[in-house]
Amino acid sequence: MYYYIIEQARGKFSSRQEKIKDILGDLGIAGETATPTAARSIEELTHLGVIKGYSTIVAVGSEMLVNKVITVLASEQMAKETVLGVIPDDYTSVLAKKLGVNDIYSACRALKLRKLETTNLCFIEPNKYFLTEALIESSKNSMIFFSLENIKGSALFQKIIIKPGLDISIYDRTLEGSLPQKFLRWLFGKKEKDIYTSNFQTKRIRFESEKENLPIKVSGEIVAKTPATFNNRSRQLKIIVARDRLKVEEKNPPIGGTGGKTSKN
Amino acid sequence: MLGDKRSTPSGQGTVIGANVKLIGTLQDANDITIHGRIEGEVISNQAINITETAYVKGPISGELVTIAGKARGSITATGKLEILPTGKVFGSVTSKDLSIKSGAIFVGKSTMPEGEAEKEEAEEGPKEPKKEEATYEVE
Repeated sequence: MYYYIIEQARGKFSSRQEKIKDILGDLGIAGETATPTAARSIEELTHLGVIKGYSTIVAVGSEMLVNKVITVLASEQMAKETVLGVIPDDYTSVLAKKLGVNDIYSACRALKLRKLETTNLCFIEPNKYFLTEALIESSKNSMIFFSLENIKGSALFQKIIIKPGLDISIYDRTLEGSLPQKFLRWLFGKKEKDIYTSNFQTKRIRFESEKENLPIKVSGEIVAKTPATFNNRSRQLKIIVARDRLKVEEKNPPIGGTGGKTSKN
Repeated sequence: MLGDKRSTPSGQGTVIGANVKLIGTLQDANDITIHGRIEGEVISNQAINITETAYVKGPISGELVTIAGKARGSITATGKLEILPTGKVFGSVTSKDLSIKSGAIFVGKSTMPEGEAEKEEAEEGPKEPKKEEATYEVE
């Protein structure tokens, strides 16, 4: 029933993977395991799991691994009913918070309890999916052009965050101001009102940068470059989340302006 | 969601930053706050807030519309339309509840929504015969 794709262990993580296998065995949910190598990529192993008819494919490792597994599950017709399970390697990450797990035990227990949730995915044309967030960053304030269904626009930006549901936040460095302005604000304890950040949701958006092609990063890895088109794929994937997810989120409230939304989902 | 024609609100609404320029129809079922520049229609089922730094060139349609920046085009508010002291409106406005603060600039025509105007007329209707009756008695 369970097919585990376990990322190759590096350094301190090698003992953890043995631990995970032990816990899964104890819980009675051990299954076939596969580790990506130079000869067999993550995508190939995921495809193999789908072909073999496993109902649940579990990604054990980084967010990069999870996104690669998702890309296969979301694009293959055969994988429509396949459920994704995740045992993350970083429990402070957005992904771990989204799943509602805070350690290896809770991640394995969530797999055992199998609470399913249909989640939105974000799709970067032509062939990349992601579950958490994508980032377009520039070292200084730069101009970016974007087009939506019936809108064309341009914006000064320093950072753009794209979340599934195509929830887009454009951050502008103008608010920070110059060094003397920063000093004066610090001196008088004055907080300037943020009128520079943009937030909106859409179904499809295309970004084009003014000069150079800017990298689009998902979990630290460059997955595409501008110009790029993002699409919302609503309720595209069945994913296993923690049964007591809300309680976990209450204990560890998400930091940041858009965090409140996460707890609602 | 931009371009979302659903009547039920979902999400946090739309905020357009001061350094953003848009051309086209900005539509959201939730609140819209504009700090930047828009050339085109702005439509919301809820509140639309045009702040001091904003400039909108095109029709605006919402339930509660607040103008603190510059708006050029017709404005329709199904609820209340408020032009704040820093607000500048050039165009016709339609609202059953209009508030123009001291210092605001409004150049255009103000009308009541059709239904509201008829209601007002209907309310005024019965008063007139009473006046006539009174006049008659005096005579």
